[in-house]
Amino acid sequence: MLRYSKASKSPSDRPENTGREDYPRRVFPFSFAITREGALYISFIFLLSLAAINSGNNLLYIILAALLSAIIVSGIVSRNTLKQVSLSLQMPENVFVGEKVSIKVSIKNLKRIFSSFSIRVQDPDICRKRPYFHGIRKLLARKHVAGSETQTDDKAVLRQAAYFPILRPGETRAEYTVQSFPRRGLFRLDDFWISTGFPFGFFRRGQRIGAKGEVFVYPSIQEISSFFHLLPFLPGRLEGSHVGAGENLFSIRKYQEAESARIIDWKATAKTGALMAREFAREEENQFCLILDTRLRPPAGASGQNQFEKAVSLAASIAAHFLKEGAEMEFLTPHEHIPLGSGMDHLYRILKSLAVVDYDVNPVPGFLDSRSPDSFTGEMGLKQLREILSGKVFKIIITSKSRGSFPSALWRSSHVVFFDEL
Amino acid sequence: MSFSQYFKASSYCLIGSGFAAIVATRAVGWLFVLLFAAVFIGSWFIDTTRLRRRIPNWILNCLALAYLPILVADYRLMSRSFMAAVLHLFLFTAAVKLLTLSKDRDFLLLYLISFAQLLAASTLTIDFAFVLCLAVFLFSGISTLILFEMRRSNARIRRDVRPQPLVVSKKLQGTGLELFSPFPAGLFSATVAGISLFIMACAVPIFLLLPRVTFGLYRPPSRNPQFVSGFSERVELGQIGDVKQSDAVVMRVKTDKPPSEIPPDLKWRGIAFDHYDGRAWSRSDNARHAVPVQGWYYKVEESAQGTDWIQQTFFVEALSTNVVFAMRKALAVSRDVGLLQRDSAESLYTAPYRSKKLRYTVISDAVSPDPGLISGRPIISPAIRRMYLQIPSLDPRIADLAERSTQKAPGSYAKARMLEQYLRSNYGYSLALRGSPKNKDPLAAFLFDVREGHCEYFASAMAIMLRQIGVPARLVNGFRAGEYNGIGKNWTVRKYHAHSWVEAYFPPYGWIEFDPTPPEPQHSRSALTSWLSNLADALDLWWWESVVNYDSLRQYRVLAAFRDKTDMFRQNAKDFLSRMGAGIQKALALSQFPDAPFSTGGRWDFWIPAAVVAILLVSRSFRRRILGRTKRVLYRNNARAVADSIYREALALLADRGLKRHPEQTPMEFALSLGRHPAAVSFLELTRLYYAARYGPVDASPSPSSAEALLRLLRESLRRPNAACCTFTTGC
Repeated sequence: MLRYSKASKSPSDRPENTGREDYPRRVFPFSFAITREGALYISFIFLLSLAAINSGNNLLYIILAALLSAIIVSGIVSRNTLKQVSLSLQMPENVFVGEKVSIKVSIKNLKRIFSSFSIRVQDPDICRKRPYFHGIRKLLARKHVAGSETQTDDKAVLRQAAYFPILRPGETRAEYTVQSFPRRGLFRLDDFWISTGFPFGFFRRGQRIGAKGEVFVYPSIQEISSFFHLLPFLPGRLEGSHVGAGENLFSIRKYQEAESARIIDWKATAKTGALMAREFAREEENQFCLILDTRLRPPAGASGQNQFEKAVSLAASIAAHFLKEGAEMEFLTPHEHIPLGSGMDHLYRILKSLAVVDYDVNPVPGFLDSRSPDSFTGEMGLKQLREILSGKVFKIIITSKSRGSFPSALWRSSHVVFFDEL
Repeated sequence: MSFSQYFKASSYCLIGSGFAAIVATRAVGWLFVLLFAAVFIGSWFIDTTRLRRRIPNWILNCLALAYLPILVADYRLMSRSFMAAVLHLFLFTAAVKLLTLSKDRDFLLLYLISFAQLLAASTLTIDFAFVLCLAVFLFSGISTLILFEMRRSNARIRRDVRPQPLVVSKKLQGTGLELFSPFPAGLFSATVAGISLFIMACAVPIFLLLPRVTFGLYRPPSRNPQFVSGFSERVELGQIGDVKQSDAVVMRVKTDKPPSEIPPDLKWRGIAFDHYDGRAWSRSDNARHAVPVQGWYYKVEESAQGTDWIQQTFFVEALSTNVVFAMRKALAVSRDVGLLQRDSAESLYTAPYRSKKLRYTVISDAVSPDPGLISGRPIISPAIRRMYLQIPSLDPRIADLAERSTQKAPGSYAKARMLEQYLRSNYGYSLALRGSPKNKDPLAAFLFDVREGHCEYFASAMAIMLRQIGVPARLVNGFRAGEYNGIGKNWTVRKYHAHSWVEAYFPPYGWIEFDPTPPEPQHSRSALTSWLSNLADALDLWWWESVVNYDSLRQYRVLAAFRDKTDMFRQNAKDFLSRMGAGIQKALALSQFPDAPFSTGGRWDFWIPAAVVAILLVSRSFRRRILGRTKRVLYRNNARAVADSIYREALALLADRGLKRHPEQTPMEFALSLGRHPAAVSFLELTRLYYAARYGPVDASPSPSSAEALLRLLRESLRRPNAACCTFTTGC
């Protein structure tokens, strides 16, 4: 698999898609937030302190001292709860958009004496939301920040929080959560965010746990139209087929000595009176090149992006179908070429590429233009490109180009699916 | 015990402790108490969720509205107290909620009501019972809040997703509490107990340090004072007998000396009477004068006769009298008594109509009279003669008896002692008042007919008989010392310790005490009852003294004492380190090298041992770091030793994070086994350098600085939060 240096970013990382500034990652390793109950608690302490000071009643002072002490102890205890905790995440290797996957979240308490309570495990991208102060931020920023949570959520690997109420010393607990990914792409996991409201729920303390991992979410695979099943067998589409050891009849000729008697075509022999043999075509019909033209014709708005996603999904579906059928295929985009291959491993290589492919708003010179391939600036070899674009290789091209803009040689050796047909 | 059972028990404990707090104040009617208790117990067994579903909202609303007129009637007609009416309202609301418990907010409301009850109790009582309720409230409150937080967090998570643990108990399936299975009740209780103790421990310094500034806009409700007879302006003979029927605590007294050093027959002097009309004692001069102030005290006397002073601290209950009790002879009284006045009979008084507890300190001169210094015929001033030799018209036999019983004694003091002894030996003690109160001469009846009575009769008889023989005498009412409580180190004075005795005037000592009453029968109790009573009493006193009465003055004293202790500790530590330094010097024989920087000098005497102690006290990891660096500096020319030291330190750092190398693993195997751990990269590189240094050619050993840099990187990667812990694996 060749990966070009100028690989397009996945939509999850694409700054243009967010439409707004990204929230900065937390600078400090932990956070401490006051909950609504905590705000009420602090307000009450303030009122009680006024009453105690006014009356000089030492019993009120005792209650006040206990309440203040509870705040201090709460901070210490919550810090201890989050210390020495290890996490692990297990999920399927191959994940598709929209598909429900079961994720196993395991947590272990490494402490020998103290238990941990009420731990919530989240992806930091999920818990960037600040519902408590969100309104104030909106007011201060004077920007429309609605929907930013959605964009932020899209980056998260662990999309559903896991909750562990009690962890005894040395204990390991695991939970299964079911979630799905809304978009394809490369989802990176840099850390977890664990938080706890223990002990009283007045304050919420959170902390990052370093982690490294990534998940490729492949585009969804659907049933393709039955027309695609016939593609390599359409007459007239292929030129220069060769004799081979395939199953399809290529021609009938005279029988040569020393050839296997099995290839004798008795019908033709009866007709002609001489021994006639069947000649089969080489299975070049099961080789083809899937080309995804990532250029989006302007205006590349939401509808264009939507079409592009459909195109990617179709490409994935075609690749899955034919590779499962045993075909050999190669995959080409303006920025990437995956050479010929077959089998499931090859399929996942292609799916991985399709997971992160992004559209181009600017034209890629020379791509899908056999007349002037010299202008192609990609790193792929020109010879290789010429061969693909020639009539010798059958292609399935998914493009946003307009009809009639294809060279005839390319047109004759390809089946083209236009974006606006999707 | 399951989570839901524990949560319910904890919630009920919390609700019950608030209820117990207001019951202890006795401000709530017994009917309400019993009704609520019935609902409280009954609601435990009822399925309140189902009951709530059956009761429509409009019924509950009508119930709430229906209570409003009851509330008004309660305030106006029944309890006639706003606080009591509010407490009844709390109980009513709590009872309704207990029967219809279904949602989280119902629980929250009950918790808030319980807390409000506790606050109300804090304004209505200062008894030790409050602290017991507070302790239970604290423990159950912590437990309940923790469980409540866990319940809510679980509910929030389940709104979005239904996480499933790997193993779920059948009972809990579908209940929403699958994640709480199994619930470690014992461990949880221990955790709650630990947190409670931690909170209480942190609360103590906060309580001590919170500023005490009272603006006085609110006055706490006053207590009903205990009635004690015998301390009014006129006391009928026999009146004090009524007081002696009760065992209610009147006051507690702490002295600065143990009982063995206190003079025997200790008494707390109250009020003195000089005028006897044949039936009752009174004061001829009721004028009171303000006592001058000097510093923190009222100066009662200008001078003292002896040097054996005793300091007493009185904790007096709310009494119907404003007499200030003290041991004879009071020299000074602390200003926290409030207003202080004295009369001509040396009785002390504070502000009238006192209805709160009182705490004050008295310094008394416990001089014992030397009979040798008392003249046989003392010179007595006319004023004293006029007041204290007054005799009403009495049975002439009394005077005759006085002469006969003292004729053998030389001198007036000896006569007084003889008379005292005579009455003690020849008359019996009894609280029963025999004979009609309207007897013309109760003293004559006591001395010649009944021949027994209580202290007031004995004291009155002696006072009158002393006056008959020309010795100025007066009757004094007060209390005996009481029972000594070894636990609280205080004297507990009860009503039945009320006593009357005599003071006779003998210059140069002035007024000397005489007690002609024979010993009274003791109030016997079993040892266990006595011990429990003493314990409860001591706790009650400690509570009142150290907590309820903690004010800005005491705060200052606490801080001053803490400062003094800190200074003393610092000085002791300095002396200890100096001695240790001298010892180290001696052991190392450094004094042989006068030019050595560590040889002599106070500076190094302190800093060497201080450094040793500091190194011993710092954390193990820091100590290891220091020692490791020291070793590498010492062996800086030996690359292998340096590499070995760095590698061992790296291993120790990883071991602290739970990543231990097994004995069968080679260093490289261990490094590779770290996998994706954040420290894996730096440790792998460090292992390679270690290999190169240990097993490679000597001249090609890597530089120690690169190894140190890798060690630093390793330390930083481990310092990141829980960096040793996260793995991300794929392929379920």
